[in-house]
Amino acid sequence: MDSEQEAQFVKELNQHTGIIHRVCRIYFNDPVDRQDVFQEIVYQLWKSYPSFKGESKFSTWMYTVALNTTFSQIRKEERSVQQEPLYDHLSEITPYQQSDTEEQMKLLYSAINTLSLVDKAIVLLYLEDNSYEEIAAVTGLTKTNVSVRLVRIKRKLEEKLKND
Amino acid sequence: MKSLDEAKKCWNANRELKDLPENALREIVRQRVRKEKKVLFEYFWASYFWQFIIYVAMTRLIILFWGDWRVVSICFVGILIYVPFTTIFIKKFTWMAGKTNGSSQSLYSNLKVQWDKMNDFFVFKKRFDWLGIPVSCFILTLIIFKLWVPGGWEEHVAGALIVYLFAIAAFLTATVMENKKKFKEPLYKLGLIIKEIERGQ
Repeated sequence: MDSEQEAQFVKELNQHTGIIHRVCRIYFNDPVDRQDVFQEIVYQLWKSYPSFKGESKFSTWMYTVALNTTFSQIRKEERSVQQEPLYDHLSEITPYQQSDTEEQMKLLYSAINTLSLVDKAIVLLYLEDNSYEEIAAVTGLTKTNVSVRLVRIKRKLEEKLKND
Repeated sequence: MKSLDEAKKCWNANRELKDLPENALREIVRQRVRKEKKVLFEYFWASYFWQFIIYVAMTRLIILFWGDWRVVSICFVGILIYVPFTTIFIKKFTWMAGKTNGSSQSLYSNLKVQWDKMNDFFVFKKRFDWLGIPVSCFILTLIIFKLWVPGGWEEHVAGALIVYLFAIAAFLTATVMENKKKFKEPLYKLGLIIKEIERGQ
């Protein structure tokens, strides 16, 4: 990657760094694992950037690479995939200042945590305002199935949020 | 927060994060390249060390027992059996050295590619194990008795058979454990995720 391309990559990456943080936060409990996977995702993005032709949005491409890297890391190194709520480490990555928001985020993460690996990816993409087409492109599901699954996931999460 | 739409609003609030400076990116890349090289180097040694020993031992025996066609032909058979395995390993190593973990294919396509490649290699390895283990153990027994037991295996058939069976048991145990850890479990985990996605296609 030449310096001009690298500068462009850093610029685009910095506009979407939150994507990587949130992917790490959803899938990994241990802060050390999260930090490590964050770096691995940045590295894989850097490696793949020259082959990014701009056929999709930069953010869509970034979700795909980030999720593929995450799934690959989970499989390879048997990391401690998040099993319990992230209360202790919540403030570490994203600076949620208001306590109400923080409390709500705790509940939300706790609910998301009960989902399968694939459903976590779907709900993350949904929460990040991706369209059904984009979610389908990233996951490889059909658009219809994304919509069916989201209904099921929403129901499950809402039930969990109400109970909590 | 009662609905996911409310959760979405909450999710999208306060998302500002610090920028990643270029020098931090370079540091990450430098560290990752070093880590990747280390993993590849370890993989290289783990994969090739045993094969290297086999080739060296076979060559040494051929030179040492040149004229004793029984020993020489067994050694040649041993080498010929290991050549395709080494070739496949070189291909796999080259693929590993060049691959990108963060593929930009969809999750499903990427998982399928990973599963197919791993399964192909596992099928090949299982076939090789069926042939390679008995032959490797036979050669190992032959070397031990030819080099270090006076009279060779011809005069100690029962002893040679015990050593052979012991070697087979040890190799089989190691292979079963290796296959479980490196192939069966990862394939099973990958398969579960793939099935989960396929259920919705």
